Amino acid sequence: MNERFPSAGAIGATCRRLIEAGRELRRIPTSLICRGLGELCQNWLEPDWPERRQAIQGLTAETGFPAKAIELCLDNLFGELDGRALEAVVSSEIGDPEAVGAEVRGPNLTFHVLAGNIPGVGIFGVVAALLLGAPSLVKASSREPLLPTLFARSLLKAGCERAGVLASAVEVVSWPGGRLDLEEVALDACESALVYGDANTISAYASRAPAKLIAYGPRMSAGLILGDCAKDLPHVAATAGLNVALFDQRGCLSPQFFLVEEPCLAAEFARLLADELRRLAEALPRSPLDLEGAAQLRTFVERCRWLSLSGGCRDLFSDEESLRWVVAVFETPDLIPFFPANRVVTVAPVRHLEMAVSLLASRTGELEAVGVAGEMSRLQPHLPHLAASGVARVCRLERLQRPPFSWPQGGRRRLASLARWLAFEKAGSERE
Amino acid sequence: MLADRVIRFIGDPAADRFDTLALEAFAHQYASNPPYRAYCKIRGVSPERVSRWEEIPVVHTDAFKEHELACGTPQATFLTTGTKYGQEKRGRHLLPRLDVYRASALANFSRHVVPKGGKFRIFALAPSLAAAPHSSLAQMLDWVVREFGSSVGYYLEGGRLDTDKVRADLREASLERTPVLILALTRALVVLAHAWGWPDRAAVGRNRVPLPPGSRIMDTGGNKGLERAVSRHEIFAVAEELFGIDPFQVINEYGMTEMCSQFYDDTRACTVFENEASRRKIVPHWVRTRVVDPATLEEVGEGGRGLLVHFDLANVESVSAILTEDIGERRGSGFEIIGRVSAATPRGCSLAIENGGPVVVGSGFDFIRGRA
Repeated sequence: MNERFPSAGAIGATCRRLIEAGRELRRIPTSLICRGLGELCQNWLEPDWPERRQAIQGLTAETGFPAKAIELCLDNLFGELDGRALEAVVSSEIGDPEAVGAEVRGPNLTFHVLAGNIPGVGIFGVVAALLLGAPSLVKASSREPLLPTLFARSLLKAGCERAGVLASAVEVVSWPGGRLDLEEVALDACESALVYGDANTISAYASRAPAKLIAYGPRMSAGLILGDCAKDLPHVAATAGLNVALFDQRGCLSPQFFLVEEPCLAAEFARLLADELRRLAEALPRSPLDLEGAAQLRTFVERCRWLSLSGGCRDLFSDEESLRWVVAVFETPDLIPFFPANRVVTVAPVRHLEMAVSLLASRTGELEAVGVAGEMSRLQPHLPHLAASGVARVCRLERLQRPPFSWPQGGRRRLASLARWLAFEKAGSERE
Repeated sequence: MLADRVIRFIGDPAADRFDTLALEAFAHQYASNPPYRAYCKIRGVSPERVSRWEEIPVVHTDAFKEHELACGTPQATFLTTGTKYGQEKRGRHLLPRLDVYRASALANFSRHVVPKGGKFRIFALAPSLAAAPHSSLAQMLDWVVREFGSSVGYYLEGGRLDTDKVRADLREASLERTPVLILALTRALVVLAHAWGWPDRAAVGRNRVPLPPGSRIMDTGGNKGLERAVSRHEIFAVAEELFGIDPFQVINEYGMTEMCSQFYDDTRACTVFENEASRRKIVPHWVRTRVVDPATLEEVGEGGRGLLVHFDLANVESVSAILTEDIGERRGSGFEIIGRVSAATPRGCSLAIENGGPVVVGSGFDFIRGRA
């Protein structure tokens, strides 16, 4: 066994300590936790905040993303975690904040299993647990353990008197995937497990602890360019390009394809998007590709070239020498062969909004969010259709990679999915 | 005709020059293969603009699913298994000249598997041509059987391996002097081994059938279809313990539907148990293989990994320059298969890198690319 990783005994002891810490945590009023965490997260936005500096330096080396992308990531993440936003989510999902610890309680222990695709995924979950008075055991990805660790450490500096209690209620550990012995201990001890992973990982946890599992499987996002954007297409394409380039489409909020409603021209949008990606290839370089990623990209490009012979793929823009980015225009989205990510984006025209919604909704369970450019209110009548297909978020395109804390990731409300309620029925029946 | 010159070149490397034939093959394919010509035009390449075979546009194996890439009316059509992306189209290799495939397949097989010639009692743990008429592997084995078999038995029908019949017939063969040649899908060999009790040494000992001297195994297909990856060492151990066949006589073959030529282990290097890194496939003189960076298509250096690109003269009547999805490693004048590109799936926030793992599909073990 590798000695760098904890033993089952050590994990068991950590779980017991965390559960004990939870008792102290629940004594802190939720409003105080909101304020404390809010202040802490605002500190994370300060350029000179030591943990932020450490994160930028460490994550750049660890993930291969450029420093600029890490800075944006931290701004997007912590910018949404101000005290008022936290209080608003508590109020919206739980009701009275004072109910926490009384008729509403969080899990005795929350076990978080994080993936390493992009930094910061999972921090919202830890914050949600803290707001419910629930301690967290965080199994960080061995690919990206730094940010969860720094965040947990920074809790000591939370802007409230009992910051030490918050810090003692979060422990970050790391071990290689597939260590069933360690996972067993954590699963036995926790009441809820938030697991990010591919289908294999999810099913492995689901088979052992189905009742505790809150699973976040692979999802992607799409962009929808509405017809009223025709005059603003360069700006829209620039926004789209940044969304594609940021994290190289490795997140569930990364757009993999765009639908362009007439009279906007899909070809024109694609050309502008290609220009932007060409620019971003220098300004915000792609993180290094592994062989598999590069090979999938090559397969995609070659498939597009052959599809162009039959008319399926109308246009292909790319950085020919090294495929640092690719934009492919398809006749219809049905023809898109697959989504290799790593700055490969596909564009398809749609005649009207109904058609776009129908195409988006046909990807049942695959779409986390739809980023919209244009008049948002036109989407209102179509929300039930999108919701039924599992879309969890419809937002402005520029907000796509900056989700609010209230984002119901995977279709689940952040606090409510963890909370347990007690109903106190004082009267004999509701009518009395 | 060019195809006849290729056949002569396969039989005698002094009969022509690879570079000359390659450029002529491209000119022929550009003229006679309309989808390939259209593709070349997209790439802005025509025979007049090409002076080296490395400049000839490569065709991704995926293209065989969508287009009929042949230079004339096909004599035969071979299909891939097409399992990578689920129930999608199968690749089709249309062959206007079957005799070029036959010349290539037999020349390479005889050189690596039966260099001294002779006749063998053949055990085919693979489908027969009658059962799988569109399998390029079945076609090749059929030629091998006719050329080198004194008798043959097929034991894999309808996806089921008749392990009892294999044992009974092998026992009978063990009493004869005629050497046995086992032509097997690697997975069939593994299934047979397990049916005989592998890895329980005592059970294997009870079922063991020592085969006559000179017996050998050609296996192909690697880990495809197996629940667990099986190492090359395990295959050698199976051959030795079940049949008493020396590892030097266990020759792995790598081939694909889209190519008329195959690659065989360099058995002298491949059987060095302690040094897995020395294993390699030999490239026949009518084929050139490059290991390229997928993004740039530039060739990688010695020991580097990338996609395998083959230029196969035996494909003279379809497309010779093939870009595969097989990941290989450059090893001297040969290469070794490392794995295969997996299908891309949305990554979400959720790809557990340490669980998913990169690239390696058949780590250290060969596999067939959708051929059987």
